[in-house]
Amino acid sequence: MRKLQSEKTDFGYTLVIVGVVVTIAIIFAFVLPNKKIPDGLPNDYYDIISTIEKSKANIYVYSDTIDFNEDYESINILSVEGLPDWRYGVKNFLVIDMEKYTSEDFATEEQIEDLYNVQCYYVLIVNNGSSNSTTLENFIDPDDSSSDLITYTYDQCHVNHYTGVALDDFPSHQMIMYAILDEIKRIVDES
Amino acid sequence: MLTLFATVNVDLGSVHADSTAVGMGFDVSSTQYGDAKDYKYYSTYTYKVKNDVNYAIGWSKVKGAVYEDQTNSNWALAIIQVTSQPKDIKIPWGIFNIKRLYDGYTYNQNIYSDIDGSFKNFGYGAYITGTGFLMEQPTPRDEPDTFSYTASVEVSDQIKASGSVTFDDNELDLYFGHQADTQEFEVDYRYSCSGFDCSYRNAMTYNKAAFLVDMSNSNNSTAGNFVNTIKLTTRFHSQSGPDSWQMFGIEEELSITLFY
Repeated sequence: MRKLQSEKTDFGYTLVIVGVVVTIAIIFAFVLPNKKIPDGLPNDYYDIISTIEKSKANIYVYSDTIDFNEDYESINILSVEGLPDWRYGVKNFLVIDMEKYTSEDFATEEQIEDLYNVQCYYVLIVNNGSSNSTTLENFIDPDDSSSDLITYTYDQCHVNHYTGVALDDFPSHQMIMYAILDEIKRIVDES
Repeated sequence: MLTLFATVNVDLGSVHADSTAVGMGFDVSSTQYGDAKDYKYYSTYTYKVKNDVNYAIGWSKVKGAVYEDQTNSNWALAIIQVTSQPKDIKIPWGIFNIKRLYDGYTYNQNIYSDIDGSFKNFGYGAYITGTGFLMEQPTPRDEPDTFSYTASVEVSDQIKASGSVTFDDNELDLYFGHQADTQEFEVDYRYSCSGFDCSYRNAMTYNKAAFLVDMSNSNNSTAGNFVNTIKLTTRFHSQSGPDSWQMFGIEEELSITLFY
């Protein structure tokens, strides 16, 4: 009788161990490899990052808070001095957070204009409206200044430049970072 | 519904096509119209709010350019390209707030103008959406296609017609209307499935429209001569998951004003 009880207990332990192993296997197989998308962001978040990475675009960022959750490795800069000149086949993006850009230590307006109009950088101005910034008041069209994401882009550099204005009241910092990446991805796709 | 093919001052086969217009899927003669006087776009995301969190379910854009007719300054040509991109997203749902896929799709895009609500005379002219142009529509396709996109309407001192067109794959129906007495212009791009294939309305798509504006009675603004204000409304629905039972989806409005 005791032997029978012992065999039942062993069988129970075996079942528990098998169950735990299977559960761990499922977690490793389906849960852990899927990186978590920040709350409120669409499912294409990592696809966008992957497209930008494959494009080999250079994204230079001047900000204390725009880090793309370290899911995308942008190039943080402290000044526009030393940024590379235009080179055929290379797409350069300059993301400027107006919360941080309060002095000419980073750049003068003329330098920003030169990077856009001459060196063919795509320039993304972030948080201009929410910061009530006037640092680039001669560069930014007054009609656009209330936006928190203004894109200076072109179909063909030196020929047909134009601006794109996001009219969103971005609900979160995550959403602004997503919108920046989404905008860059569209430019990469369409150019 | 009668579809007319307007003969307007848009050079259909110009070898001197303006590159800005080409980028938007139009062929505008740079000889007649020169460079674009105004060229820009506005965009916005559409959100669904759940538990005080905003979930982005779609993105839309209206892009416009305006040209002055170099041969007759009484006329301006406005070209418009609108874009819709539904976004799939997981949204918490039910009493347990389990995240479920919000499988978004575009229900329709509507371009509307009542001349900025003013009494400015819309003027006489012709409205055309092009025939045989290299178009970015419908997407997704590897290359722009040369669909016979033939909706157009001619407007004169008397209303002649309003046009309607259906794309050959039945994925997009276009309805067009103009009412001279109320100064209204409207074109509605309605998305539909092609048989069982509904992939088109889930994709990023581009629609376009163009029209001539009578500048002989134009308004002025601090930005220059006011040409027109266009309102775009994009409606997103959910194909499955949360809200798929709802009839009206979520609408988002954008407007763009063109000057020179």
